Amino acid sequence: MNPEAAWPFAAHLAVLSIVSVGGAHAMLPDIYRFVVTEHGWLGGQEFATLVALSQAAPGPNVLVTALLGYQFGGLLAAIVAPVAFILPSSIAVYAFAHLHVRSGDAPWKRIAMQGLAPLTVGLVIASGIVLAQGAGAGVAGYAVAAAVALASAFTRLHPLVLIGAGAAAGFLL
Amino acid sequence: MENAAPALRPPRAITCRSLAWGFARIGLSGIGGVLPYAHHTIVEDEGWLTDREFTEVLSIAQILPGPNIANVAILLGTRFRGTAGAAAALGGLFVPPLLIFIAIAMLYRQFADIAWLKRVFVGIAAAAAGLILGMGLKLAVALPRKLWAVAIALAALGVAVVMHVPLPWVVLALAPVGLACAWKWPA
Repeated sequence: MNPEAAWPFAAHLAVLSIVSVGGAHAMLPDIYRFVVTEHGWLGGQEFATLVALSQAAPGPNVLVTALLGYQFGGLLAAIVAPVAFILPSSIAVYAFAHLHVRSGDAPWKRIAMQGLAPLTVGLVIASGIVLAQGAGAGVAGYAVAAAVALASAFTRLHPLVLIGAGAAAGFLL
Repeated sequence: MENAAPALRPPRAITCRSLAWGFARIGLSGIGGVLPYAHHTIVEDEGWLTDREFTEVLSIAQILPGPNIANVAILLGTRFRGTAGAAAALGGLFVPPLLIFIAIAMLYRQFADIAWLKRVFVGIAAAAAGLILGMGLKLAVALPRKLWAVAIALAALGVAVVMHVPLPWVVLALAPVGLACAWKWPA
């Protein structure tokens, strides 16, 4: 446990907050790079497990930063991490809310959405790959990840069912 | 900010307290993404917005930086109750689930070293990676059917997985290219 780590972690998240496109999951490869590869505050498997737990818990995805932060920085990190991740973008959105006049179907919105979508797709898929590597379960792990990916993309199974299936596979293998 | 409120809506119904409570329900209901619950609460339960207004707010929330649902909370809170409304909506959205997340973090710390549980955790970690991959696949199917879109997605994927480039540089480099392409070659 290293409460000092709360501050550099929060500072990193605050920077990501401003450039975040596509939500928390698109930011995970960079958070992984910072927390696991660069600082070694968590192991890859631990990181991947905590992301999994965050998906099984009720709440916005960004709260994964609290779960990660708690493991190496304690309660302080669990609180300052999500605040740092949410606050900068929130201030920008708040400022926008004051400027904003109802825009209807303004063409800039179509351009912005279409232009940013490929970036989000690339980063979210990258996130899945980084986490599958982090899970560290070898070929079996990749097979579970691939099966869950296909099931979640092409069936209507609830995410919790798929996480449960993963848990069962982990227990048995 | 009050002049941004839709003219026909009676102002009495939407208080800071109802914003906080409404967004708390949204925050606590979502497993694997809160947006479907957001629509249910905001449009059907509370009647804060019409379907069309919700779609518009959501499209703006998606473009702006930050979590989509947090942006919806701020845009609605500001629209109905100004600064206090934004704070109430954001607090309602995040504080109750944060307490749950902290409880889970404490439990994990307590039990993470049990051997059979470790195997279970490896399994759910692989499953969680799969869930995120699946979401990426779904998003990929919805991409504009354009060469530039595929190229940008692959470039982002490559630099994030292989080259470990810090994300701000990736976004600063690729976002303008994507915007220019979307402007020049609309889908």
